[in-house]
This record gives sequence, C-alpha cells and structure tokens, in this order.
Amino acid sequence: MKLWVRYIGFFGFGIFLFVTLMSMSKNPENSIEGQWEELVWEYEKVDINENSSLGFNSISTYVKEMVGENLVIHQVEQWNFLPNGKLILKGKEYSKQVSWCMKGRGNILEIKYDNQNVEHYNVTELSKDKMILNFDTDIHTRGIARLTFKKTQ
Amino acid sequence: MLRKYSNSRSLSDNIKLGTLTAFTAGMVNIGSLLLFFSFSSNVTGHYAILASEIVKGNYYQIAVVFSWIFLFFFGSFISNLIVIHFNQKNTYLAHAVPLILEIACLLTVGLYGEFFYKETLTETEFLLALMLFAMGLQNGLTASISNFSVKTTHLTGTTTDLGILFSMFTKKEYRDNKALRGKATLLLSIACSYLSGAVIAGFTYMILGFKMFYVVSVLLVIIIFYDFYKIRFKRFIHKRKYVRVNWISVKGYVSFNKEKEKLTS
Repeated sequence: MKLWVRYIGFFGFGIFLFVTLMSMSKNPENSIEGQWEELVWEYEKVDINENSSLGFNSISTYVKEMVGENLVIHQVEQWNFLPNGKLILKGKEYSKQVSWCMKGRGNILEIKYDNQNVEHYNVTELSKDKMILNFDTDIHTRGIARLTFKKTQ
Repeated sequence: MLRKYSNSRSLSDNIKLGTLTAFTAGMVNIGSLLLFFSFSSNVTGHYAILASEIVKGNYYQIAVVFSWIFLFFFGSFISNLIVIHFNQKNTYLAHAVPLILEIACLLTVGLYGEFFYKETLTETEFLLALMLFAMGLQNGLTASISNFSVKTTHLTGTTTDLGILFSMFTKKEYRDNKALRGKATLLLSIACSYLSGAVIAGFTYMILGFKMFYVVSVLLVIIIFYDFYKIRFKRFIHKRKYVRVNWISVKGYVSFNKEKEKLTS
C-alpha cells in the first residue's frame, strides 16, 4: 500500500470516528434546555451536630440554607433554561431572569446575574430527565455541594 | 533561535527559544482555562478526561476531547512535516512557518473572542480546538529543531528530567559535567518561564481578556524577527567586510600602478 494512502486512511479514520460520535450524541446545550425542578441539595462533608441522628436526605434543607445563604439560587425551586441563553429561576415567591452558557466540553454551567456576578457549576450528570450540578463553596462549609434536578418539561 | 537545526544548536539558542515559547505556552494555557474552563497546552489531562468520558459513555464529550487530542497531534505532525521537508531549501523559513501558523491561530482566537464570541458551546470548543492545534504546532517545532531537548507546552517531562538531573548532581562527576549542568539550566529556565507566563496571564486576564492572545502573538513575532534581524545583520557585516576588502585591494592596485608609472617614467 502506498504511503500517502496509509496517511489519508489514518487521518480519515480519525475524522470518521469524530463524525460518528457526534452524530450519536446530543449537544449538552440542547439537552439542558427545558424546565428542571430541584429535587435535593446534598453536601459531601456537612458540619452537622454529631449528637443529631438526622439522615442524609433529611438534612437537605439544612444544607441548602447553610451552603446557599449567599447564593441567589438558594431561593429557587424551578430552573427554566431557554434556548436564547436566558434562564428563569422560580421560587415560591420569587422569580428572576439571568443568563446561562456552557463552557469547557459542556461540563461547566456558567450563570451570569444582572450585577455581573458569575457562578460556575460542574455538570456532573445530564440525561433526558436528570441533571446533577456540583459547585465549590467555602461559605460556612468546606467542600462540594450537589444539586439534583428532575426534568419536568 | 530558529536558524540552526538539531545538533548545530547551542545551549544559548535552546534557552532563548525555550524560555520565550514556554512563556507564551503558559499564557495560552491559563488564558484558555480562565476563558473556556479547559487546558489547551497539556494533553495528559485530556487523555485522563477522555478515559473517564469513555467510562461514563458520554459520546459528545468523547468526540470533543478526542478531537482536541487529535488536533494537538496534527499540529505537531504539520510542524515537523514542514521542518523536515523544507529544511534543506531554507532552514530559517522552514522553522518560521509553523510559528506563523501558530500566530494565525492565536490571532483568530483573539479577534473572534473579542468581536464575535457569543459564548455558545460550539464556539468555545472550536476556539479551544484552535488553541490546541497552535500548541501542537509550537511543541512540534521546538522539539523537532532542538533534537527533542526543548518541549515547552507541558512540564511533565521537564519536571521528571529535572528530578533525575538533581539526583545525578549528588555525585561530583555529574556535577562537573558541563553538558548536564547546561541541560538543567535549560529545563529550569523553561519551567520558570512557563510559570511566569501563567502567573502573568492570571493577573492580567481581567484587564486583557481576549487581548491576551495579541500579547502572545507579539512575543512569537519577536522570536521570528530576532533571527530575521540576525540574518540581515550578518549579511550586512559580511557585505561590509567584502566591500572593505575590495576597497583595500583597489587602493593597493592604484598605489601599485602609480609606483609602476613612476618607475617607467
């Protein structure tokens, strides 16, 4: 076999692999669009009272209050990602429109607020009906907080 | 920096090339991390990410990370292809073309980022791909022309070699070896330069943003023009010497003729 044929074959295979994988998958930007409902807030190392016998799930509200005290999203229960880069955050008596975009390889969710504050979340899991976001926080707590969502629309 | 090839290069040539290119690589890497949340000059991490995405079965991420690694490889391939095929015709040009391509890629990132970037994921991934290709070009060039002694876009090998060298220096015979001391100096300057570039990019990121890539391009232009200037300067000196030699011989010829005329008259 001629040398140039081998080279074209090698690079062609690389391009073929890329195109095949792309055609089999969905862009995370499209997957995230829609309405998501918060299910649970978790934390990998919660500074809980050792005498307390509360279970992991039951401390969700406690974690949310502690971790999200200084974050806008702690009042939110529903996240509506619109295709135009807008995100509507809705709570019981709360509604706010912010901007969103994805960075990296689609593993970072960036949220920008009107006052130009920017928050970054790691998209740990993103499927048809489930999304898990992680974020670093050093406000009152140390480590990583985890938010789990369920797709409603 | 760019004129000489392989073993004809001096330690000074390699240090100059290594420090300047490592500085730009450090800037580009931190720039891409802060702007796009992904590294662009070291692919070891990308191999680890590729493996983890394969395990998770995320086809989209597998495709993206695979294309980034592939483009780094392709950049290095193109760089060395240019060097080995055009080295005999014009060494300086063969070594400068990969840097010109790198500047074109980085300027595209800077200009697109400053004027057109809408922060979509496709744009982010495409700009990162361009940066990885540019870093592949740079690493391929420096490694190729320096006989694999200068690699500037990642520091894994550099740190390993430094560790080995520093342990060797515990023995006097190695400590007294000039070549080994030179190698350690080269590797240390590359590591310090990369770190400096990264730190400066980190501090200036808020002010410069995408303009950071113009600064990197200017540094690469300096590398290209440094040797261009040297070649022109050497030619000028050579020409001057030639003219001087000719002038002396003309003067000698005239005085010889005058004396000849005197003798005949």
